[in-house]
Amino acid sequence: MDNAIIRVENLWWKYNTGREWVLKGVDFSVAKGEIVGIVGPSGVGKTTLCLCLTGLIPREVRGIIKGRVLINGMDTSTTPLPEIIKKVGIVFQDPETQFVTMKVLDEVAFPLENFGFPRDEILKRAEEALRVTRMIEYSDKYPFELSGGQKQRIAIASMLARRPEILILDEPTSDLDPLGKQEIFSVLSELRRRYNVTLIIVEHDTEKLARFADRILLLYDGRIIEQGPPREFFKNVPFLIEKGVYPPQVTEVFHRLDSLNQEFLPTTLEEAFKILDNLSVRDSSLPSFPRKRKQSGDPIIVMEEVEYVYPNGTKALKGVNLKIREGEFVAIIGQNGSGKTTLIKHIVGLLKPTNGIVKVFGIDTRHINISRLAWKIGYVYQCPDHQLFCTSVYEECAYALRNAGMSEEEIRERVSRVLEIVGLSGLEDVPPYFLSKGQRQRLAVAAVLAMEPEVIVVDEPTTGQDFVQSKGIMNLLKKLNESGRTIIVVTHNMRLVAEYAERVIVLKEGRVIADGDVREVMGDFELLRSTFLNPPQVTVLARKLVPVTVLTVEEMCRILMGDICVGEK
Amino acid sequence: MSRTFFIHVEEKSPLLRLHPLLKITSLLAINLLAWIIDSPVVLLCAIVAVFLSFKIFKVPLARIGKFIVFAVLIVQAVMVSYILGSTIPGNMVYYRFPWGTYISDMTLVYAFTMAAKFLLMLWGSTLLLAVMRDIDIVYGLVSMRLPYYLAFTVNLAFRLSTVFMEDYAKVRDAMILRGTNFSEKSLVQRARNYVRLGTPLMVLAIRRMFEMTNALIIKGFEPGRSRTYLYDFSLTIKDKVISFLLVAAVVLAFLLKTFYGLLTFPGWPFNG
Repeated sequence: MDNAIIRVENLWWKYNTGREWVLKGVDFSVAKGEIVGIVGPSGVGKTTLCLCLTGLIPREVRGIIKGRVLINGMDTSTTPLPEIIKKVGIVFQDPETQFVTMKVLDEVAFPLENFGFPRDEILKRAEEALRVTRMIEYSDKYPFELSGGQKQRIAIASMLARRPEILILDEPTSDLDPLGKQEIFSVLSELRRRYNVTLIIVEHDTEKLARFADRILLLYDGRIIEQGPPREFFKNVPFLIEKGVYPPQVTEVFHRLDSLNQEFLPTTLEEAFKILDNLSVRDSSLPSFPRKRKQSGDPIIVMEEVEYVYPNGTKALKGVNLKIREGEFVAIIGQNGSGKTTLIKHIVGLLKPTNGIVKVFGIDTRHINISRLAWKIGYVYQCPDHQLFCTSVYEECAYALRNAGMSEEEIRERVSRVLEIVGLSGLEDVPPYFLSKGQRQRLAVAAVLAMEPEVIVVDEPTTGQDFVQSKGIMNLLKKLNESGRTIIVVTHNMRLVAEYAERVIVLKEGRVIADGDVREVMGDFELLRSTFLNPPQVTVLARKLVPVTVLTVEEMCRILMGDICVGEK
Repeated sequence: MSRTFFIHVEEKSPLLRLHPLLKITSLLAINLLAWIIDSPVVLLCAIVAVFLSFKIFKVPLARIGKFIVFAVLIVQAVMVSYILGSTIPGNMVYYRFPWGTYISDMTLVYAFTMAAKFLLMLWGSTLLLAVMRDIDIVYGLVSMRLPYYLAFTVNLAFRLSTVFMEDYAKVRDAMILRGTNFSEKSLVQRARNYVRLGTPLMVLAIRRMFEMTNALIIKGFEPGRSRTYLYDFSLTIKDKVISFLLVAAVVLAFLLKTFYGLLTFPGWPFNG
């Protein structure tokens, strides 16, 4: 590639603290103005590769490097870091660790101040970046008190304002609501169009990459094992799935439908619509897909006119009324900052309502001891690191049981059972902080599970996880639900909500704006869009053909392989 | 409401809007005055003035209620150490200890004075730290001609302490949800719980430190590099007058005490 702005040549990297090479001969080039997506399962070296592209590896991080990285012709091993930084910006995975100031506007302005931009220009750029990331009205807020998605927007805005020649984004949208994701990708495309910025995006959301990236690289076990433009990249579906990468839903659907003999597999909804336009409807009888919501048991969580005001005056809940019944699988969805986490903190008793009543198992949470309530309602945090505090995986799961005075024999039996369920058997003696993020998340679930609570509340279980891990956690929750437990999940992953949840509660600005069977809610596109959510690709695709709400790839295939559509027009 | 390092304060609080340099000089002045002044009556008046300032300047005292425990502990420690370990002559001796020290009427007054000094420092600093934001530390220290990177590093120390407190609250909640009783009667068990709480906090702090360092480098933070500033905190005449008065008050207090014997402890120097 002659016009390459980034050249990675046979790059090997090993951390001083690690035994294995993380990168094992990575080779690729990126042209100026190109948008390159990097996919791969968790733990294959994507973040390490990003650090190499910024020069932080090897200049700031200790380890052994072989090969070289050239940024605009500058070798990152020999060029002073500030020279490289002028060209490269990066948004890290965890937005919180990037915040160095106490006000949103200051955070976005900080790099511009450091690079010596004039004050007027700083304000102009900062406000523009905040506007495109939908954070302008939060300019005066304290970044740490915002929701996960809002924090991510600020981290992105702070780099957008800089407009570096190369912008690297390490899972930049994992905490964002679906429309928020789309907006960020649109902004990135616009940045490329206006300023010819080169973009490297590490992302698990292949649907977004398929739409926005010029080229996608698959990093697996420290090597690039596949690359190409999206249509080329996604054509080998079984290979990708085997490597832990799930292609866009529309690609999966048409891959399964060999009978349609398409020249290429669509990777975006628009491409899939074009193919559908060429299909004829043979039969007008519609398949019937059942409601997913079970006949429910007794109400165990009741919220009446619940309001909550944070100390900074933010009214996070505004008159929430809901009942959750025994044995339900409930997904709570809503745009960033809509009050989802505040709502579940009320359910587990960590927050008490400013007004209204929250009753759990018939008891008002204002008069309940939360450590006792935890035996009935388990809460898995969004960030597992806040809830792992023991020296080994075994001790982590045994902790609550010991506090309850159980016998060692019973503890051993329970711990081994839950570790088996979450797939961490054999790692009993490993310190939790040596586990991967996916494993830590599962350990956090196991530690709660060991208490055998009747209700399990999980906050954003799929953030920063690859699709295989996300499905693993959701399968685990499904299994627990089938064994009679009530599951409440907060997530932005609409594909997983559609596949697993039975009931969906939609929050908007602290109010419940919809509550019903997952099929009803997912079928109401207007409602979802009003709160910055998007239905899954297959749901939108199916609606083009038939007036039913499809939730999964399997259901979509049933429609296409059944009597509704056959052959070409 | 505006978020400061430790609490939320009403936007309209005059103290919040004070020039950063003034906030820092006030903080230093209060502590220096408390250190210089030995007169119990003056100290008591100063403490009352500080408490009134909380009300006048709309700094929510209720939100810093937990500091009262520290204040009580300090008063206790100071009083006990003077009562058990001093030989301050007075008009009347109430009790003599076998190890040679005694409690006189002046012992009590002196112990009270020392406790008042600490309380003035504590509450004065609390009042000003309650309205301190990162930009106050940075712009304040830069106005005092300190290099930017040094000012920013001092600010970072404050920032990290508040982030640490937020992490502490989250981990503590997680532990409570797993059956930990932090109000355990056994001190050993209570200590064990806090040690356990320290593990994730340490891991998080180390991780944050590394990641924040990387973030700072990426954001162009570099010692010695010239930069622009988003805010323009130029000193007004009023700010200059207040600064002058603060410095003058400290100097005056020092002169009055050293050369005129004012603001000293009654009966000082002891010749017992």
